[in-house]
Amino acid sequence: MKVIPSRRKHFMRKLIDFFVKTGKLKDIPRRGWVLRGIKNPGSISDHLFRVAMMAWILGREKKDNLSIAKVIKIALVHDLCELYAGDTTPYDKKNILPEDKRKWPEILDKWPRFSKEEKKQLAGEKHQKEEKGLDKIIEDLPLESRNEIKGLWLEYEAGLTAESRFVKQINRLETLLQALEYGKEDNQQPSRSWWIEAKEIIDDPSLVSFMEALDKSFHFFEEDDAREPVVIN
Amino acid sequence: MTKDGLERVKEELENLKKRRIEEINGEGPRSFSFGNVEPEFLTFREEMAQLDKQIAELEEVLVKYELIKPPLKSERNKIYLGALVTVQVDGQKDELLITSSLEANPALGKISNECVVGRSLLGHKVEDVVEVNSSVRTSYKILKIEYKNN
Repeated sequence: MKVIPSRRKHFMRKLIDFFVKTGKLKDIPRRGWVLRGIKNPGSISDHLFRVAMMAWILGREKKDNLSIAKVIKIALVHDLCELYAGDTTPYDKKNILPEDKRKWPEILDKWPRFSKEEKKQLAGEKHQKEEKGLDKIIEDLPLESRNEIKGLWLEYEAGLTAESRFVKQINRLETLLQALEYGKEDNQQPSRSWWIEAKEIIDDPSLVSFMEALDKSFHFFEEDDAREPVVIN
Repeated sequence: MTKDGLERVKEELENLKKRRIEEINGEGPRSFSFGNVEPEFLTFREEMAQLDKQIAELEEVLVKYELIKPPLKSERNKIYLGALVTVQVDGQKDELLITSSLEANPALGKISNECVVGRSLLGHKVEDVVEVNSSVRTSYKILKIEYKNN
């Protein structure tokens, strides 16, 4: 049997710890689905997986000199922080949701609006909390991997590169797609808030086309329209 | 781009350059060990390349940017790029700054002029009700349009 030197063993232990931590994201249901009472709600891992898949495939279709490897990596790390920071929604702020749960569907149907100061404060608090969460999950990784994950996450947060903006929009699209799927399962129109949010965020022409195609594909339009091919610019 | 947006790009560029120096000066991995390229070195090199690409992208923005100019006074009753628009949506008030894609940050109320809502609002005036349709219909009633020295 090959003897692993103790330093190497320690290194492997740290990697295993990291993978165990990331594995826990499989058990954390996404808050937006929990609030809406979805049975067997998708987890953060479920979301990360499909964001990565959509970012890859839609990124390739876009043919726009995006670094696909980077897009996939950003997609995989963008919500890692939620293991410790938690998955919060805008409805968790300022006690928007009353104790009486019967009133929730009506509130959840609207996208909550905040003042300029509140937006700034909420975004700042979220960023700080998530950065701490990310630092904690990657703290024992080798320096290079730690720097790479942190760098990708900071890039995503800043949203100033083509790749980070693309993934931010895919992030919304994946959530919209999931909402439509749940809506179809329950034979109910999903909350309007998913659409409103997406229409204020998604501006990449290829993703706007994809969003329109989603709209047609999910039961709200005539069947003939739904058969139209998805056009990616 | 607005002046605020320009400042943000400059700040981010400085952060990236600082991070690059820190990482180079930090405990960077050795490139070779017993004649083999260490995988850590490859990761490090890849990360440096990504950082350089980001820096180059932002430097290009700083070369090519154009500041958003408010429209002529006679046109300021309409929504153009750079307008701060107060709207009423679903019975709630909100302020939306119509900005470029690069500067858009919906969490802070800055929406792109190329997103569905931003595009639909362009050219409209106070009191107009703009319908944004899909399988759900949303109305944006325009309450106020302002142009600040962005």
